Amino acid sequence: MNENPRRDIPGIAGSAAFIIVGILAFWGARDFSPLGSVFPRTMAVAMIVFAAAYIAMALLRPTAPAAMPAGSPWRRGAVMVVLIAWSFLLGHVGFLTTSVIAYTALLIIANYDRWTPRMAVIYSVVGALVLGGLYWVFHEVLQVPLPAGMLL
Amino acid sequence: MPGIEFLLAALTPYNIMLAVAGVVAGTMIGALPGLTATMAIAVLIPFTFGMPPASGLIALGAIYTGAIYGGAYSAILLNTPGTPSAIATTFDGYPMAKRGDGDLAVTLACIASVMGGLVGAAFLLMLAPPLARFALAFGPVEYFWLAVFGLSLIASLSEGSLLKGLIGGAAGLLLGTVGLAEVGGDIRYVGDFNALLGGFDVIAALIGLYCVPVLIDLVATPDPHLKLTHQVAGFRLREAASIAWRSRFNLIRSSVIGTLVGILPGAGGSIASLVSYSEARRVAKDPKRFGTGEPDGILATESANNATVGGGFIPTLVLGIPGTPADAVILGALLVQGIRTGPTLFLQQGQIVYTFIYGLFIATVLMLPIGLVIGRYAFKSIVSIPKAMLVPSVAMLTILGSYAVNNNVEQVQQMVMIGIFGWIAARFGFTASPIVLGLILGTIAESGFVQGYLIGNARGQPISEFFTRPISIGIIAFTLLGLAYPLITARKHKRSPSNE
Repeated sequence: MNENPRRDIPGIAGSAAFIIVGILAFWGARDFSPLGSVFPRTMAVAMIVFAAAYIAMALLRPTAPAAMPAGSPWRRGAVMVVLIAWSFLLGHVGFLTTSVIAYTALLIIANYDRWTPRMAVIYSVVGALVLGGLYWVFHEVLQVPLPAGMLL
Repeated sequence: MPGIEFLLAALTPYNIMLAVAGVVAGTMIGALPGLTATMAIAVLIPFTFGMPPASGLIALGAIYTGAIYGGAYSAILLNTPGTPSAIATTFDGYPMAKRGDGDLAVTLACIASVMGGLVGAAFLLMLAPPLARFALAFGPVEYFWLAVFGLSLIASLSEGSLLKGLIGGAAGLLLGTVGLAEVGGDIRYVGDFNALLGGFDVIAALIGLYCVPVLIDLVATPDPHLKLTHQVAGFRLREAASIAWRSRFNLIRSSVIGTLVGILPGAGGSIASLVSYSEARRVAKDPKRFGTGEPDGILATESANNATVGGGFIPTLVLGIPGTPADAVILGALLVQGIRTGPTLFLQQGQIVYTFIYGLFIATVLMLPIGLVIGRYAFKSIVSIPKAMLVPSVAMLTILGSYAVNNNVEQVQQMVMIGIFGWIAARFGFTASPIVLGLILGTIAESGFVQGYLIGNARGQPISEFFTRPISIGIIAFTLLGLAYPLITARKHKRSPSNE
């Protein structure tokens, strides 16, 4: 048990965000047919009620907030940026080109060891094999039409 | 029980070879996040057209059973269910892998999958016609209560706060309403994003919510992905067999639940594994261990999802109604082979059907050695791969997997955005599992509720329709029991300090 409980500010903030989403969802259901609106409205109300109850409880009975994870925020942010860019450029630029760039970027972000020529060669060869292998399996064996885009 | 001649017909070298190839191919495809058992069968089905009907069916059954099992690998080792059936396997599988017992978890999953597969096939062999009639007794109201029963699992999946779990569950249910409504045809919460007309794809959302947060956190520290507390020397088969033997009732119960849920058209492995997990947790001596790497959790989910294979074949063969999407694809293959499904199938084409069922038994038994070998290799690979190679390779699989569901780039974008939302939500204390549960069960709950309401309204009893049907009452009772049981046992423990 936490001996020094604090208010769960992230939890309260998250619940407040869910209340806003719930209100928007309830309001957004006004144009639906009665059959189509009953379920989303019920869920929106449920979400609002649960979130309000959580806020009230967190204010009245402080508990330990969720632990913030240790580690580099920059690397985390970089992974998000790479994944977003990869998913949005995939169709325009092409699967193979974006994948080579994103794979290399993620490899650099995830590496904590000192780069050596040997390591660079090994990672490049293995990376090429993984990329090529997966491309072959999906494109040739499973006949998945991977987006070619402008550059392949 | 059908005669030995069908077993002998299934035991030809050609059929055994097909079963081995099918299990290997299915396991490999099922292990890749995003590639489902349905996709594995759909891709490989043309190879069976030139085969004798029974052999073709054995190959398809082997692919199916292998793919359902294969989904456990990525669920245990990467926290990403390879197939939707393996969602609940992540709850205890990944914590086991994180603490250094990934190899044991994979072996347990293999044993449970074999057990579940055998029970499902046994039901198919002996009780197919009466069980098919049981499936017909399930109407929209029963499906609604089944979904509610699944949603009651939120209570046990809520880490830290039940209210946060309920908020997450409601958010998932709300996410499930996005797109074209199944009943009524309303277009809901789509705005200008036409890509959302079909709603959020469950598989893309699963990959996003489970895998993207893992990737984001993996790069943050130089710590290894999985701990290795011992030298990987064997399969830990004896240890796993001992655990499975101690939990034999859990295995049997979960396999039976999996079979029964598999019989229900549209329910499938994900619901079967969630329901069996919920039951295993309810009857456990220490339910708090579930979600922290409890072997019973893996045994329950993996036996249940593989039992749906045999269970799903029951309505497919007896009624011509596919139990799962994979069964629908197999039903198409049956028609191509000239097999007419229906109540008389077991009489008129018994040779083919019983040979196929025995073939399913053989494929399931073969899954034990094959699954153990592939599982060990998968575990050793994931443990030994440097993080710098693991992160981009897994990211590549998530992109490919979410794209391959419908060959749609927008689903990749959905997957990434939902994943980042999941990571942010977790920072605020809202875990992914209740959201996923709501997303999966939302459609079933809503269509069951609305259809049940319409039927009840037509009969002039819209409310009592939900509470007076015998199966509904049974499911409601189980749901209430599931929710109240932990409170009752906690109170008992409080009263008797000797239990502490």
